[in-house]
Amino acid sequence: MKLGFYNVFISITTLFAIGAIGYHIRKKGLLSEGAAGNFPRFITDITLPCLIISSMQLTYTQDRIQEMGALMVIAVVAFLVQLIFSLLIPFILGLGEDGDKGVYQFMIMFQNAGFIGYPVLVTIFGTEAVFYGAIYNIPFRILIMTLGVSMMEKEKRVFSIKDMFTPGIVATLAGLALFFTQYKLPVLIDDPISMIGSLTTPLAMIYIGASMTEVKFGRMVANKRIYMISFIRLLAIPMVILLAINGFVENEMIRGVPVVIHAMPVATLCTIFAKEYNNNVDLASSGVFMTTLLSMVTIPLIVTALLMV
Amino acid sequence: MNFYNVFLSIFTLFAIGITGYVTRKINLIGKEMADNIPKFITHVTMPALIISSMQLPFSWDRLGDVGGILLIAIPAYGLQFLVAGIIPWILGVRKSWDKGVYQFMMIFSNAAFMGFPVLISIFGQESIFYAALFNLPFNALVFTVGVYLMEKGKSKFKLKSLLSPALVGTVIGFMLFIFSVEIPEIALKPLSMVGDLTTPLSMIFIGSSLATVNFKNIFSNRNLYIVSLFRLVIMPVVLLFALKNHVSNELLLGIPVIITAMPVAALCAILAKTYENNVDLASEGTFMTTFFSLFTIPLVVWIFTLVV
Repeated sequence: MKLGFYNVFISITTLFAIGAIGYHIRKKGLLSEGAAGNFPRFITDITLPCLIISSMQLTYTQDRIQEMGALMVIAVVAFLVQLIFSLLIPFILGLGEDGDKGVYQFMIMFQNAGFIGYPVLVTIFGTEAVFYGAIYNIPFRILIMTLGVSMMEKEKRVFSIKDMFTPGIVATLAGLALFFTQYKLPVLIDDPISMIGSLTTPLAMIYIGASMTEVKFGRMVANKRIYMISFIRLLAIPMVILLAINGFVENEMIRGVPVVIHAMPVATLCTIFAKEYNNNVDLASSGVFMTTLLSMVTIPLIVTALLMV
Repeated sequence: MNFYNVFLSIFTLFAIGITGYVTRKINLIGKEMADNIPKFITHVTMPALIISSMQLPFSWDRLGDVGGILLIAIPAYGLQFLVAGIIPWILGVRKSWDKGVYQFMMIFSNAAFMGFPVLISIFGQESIFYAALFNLPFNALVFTVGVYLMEKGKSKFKLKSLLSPALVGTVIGFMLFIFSVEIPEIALKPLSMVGDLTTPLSMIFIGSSLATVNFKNIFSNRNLYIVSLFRLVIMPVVLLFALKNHVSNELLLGIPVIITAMPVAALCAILAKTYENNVDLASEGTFMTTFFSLFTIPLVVWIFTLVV
């Protein structure tokens, strides 16, 4: 598969156009606050697992196993890059022993792989990319529930293995099991699942657009540190990863999936965790909003870079 | 037409409906979201679906088919009016306030929420081009005749209420077709992606609306069984046999038959509420016909495949 610049441009614009529709209908009240607030749960618990399972119905080949192995190696490199940046960030921002240190570190370390990541992967690379994206997200989930929590919490808390098993992870494991046993779902089950899965991309973009109506721009724009965070999160990290793996990975999709995933804005879990562990919620949510907003410019830039190297 | 594929498509819709039912039951879809979905569909995804489906190259043949479908709409709506005229006698509700509600149920089927998804799954996206045109009289009739049947007192008729987003979408789509205007890809792709939400979201909505229903009450009203029989089986089958010798085009024959085979329109309950008629009866009728339609639609489609 060869990515064409025109097609990629159309795909990305499509996503943002749907986001704009979401923003508009939320503003006009065609989408109520309660309904929009219900979207994330509906997506993460229903449509995304369906998308993952139906996308993982692929034929077993030796090549694919090798690609999965390559992806795991890339994952180690990529998460190390992010870890280094997140360890450096207190020095870059000159934070000292600031109480918000953990929130900033979290923002650098954890991107929004599920919510925006999948739609971008699907529109650029097709549903096959979901297969690799889902696998890629397993180590991500482990990290966010261990390292992520310890960055956020100010008091100690026991890690529970149950937190690992989100519907998305369960679907990935199920999809992998079906892949390795080469069990093909009957059409009677696969058709509804893939149709429900196809809701993910448009609904996620509509939700992101709708959530932008709640941004308090004044306060967000005033925090200068957020700009540095955005620059590192959205541009520096994916570029470093791209340059690091570029010479070694031939396959366009295997190279593209991690770079695109690591170019995503701050994970929405950042706000949720900050709330849960009594950390700085305002800071966390401005980080999420600002990077999401800026990602509309930076994702096309990163994808362009991906096409050029 | 392959019956297995048709069955598969309808089963898919059914399975998504079940998903809607379950997710609403376990509250993954909350009340607010369930209440908001119809508005989201009618105002956003449906017009998008109609406009993007009507992006077909202009040809005189197709324009001829447009004339054909509009012509077929006359006997199709005529039949429904006829049954609406006699249903009060059949049910023995001539003097009852409920008369108008029953008549409404006979004339207005749920073309958009269920008809369009079924048509897409059987005939493909192109069928929406004709189905939207076939459905044009629906919008005009539902806010005139429909309101007249529902209201007991006087009410002010507003011309503006005729302009539903679906109607506006159909007119825009048709204009683009007539003047051969191609929407650029950069706008068409988001439009069709949003439009594609219509089918799964409609089924999820229908399923979720069944989740809060007290089935016991509904199934005790004897009249509603007769309504269901006429609405879901007799009318479409009569229409099929009346038209089959005159219409050779499978698509043009299928659209009126399938839309007529749909359950009572969701607007029934909404208008009954607005005009202070029997809301309970209206929503019970909608639910019962929706429930039975899961079995009767495959039946009607099966008869259709035998005849065509």
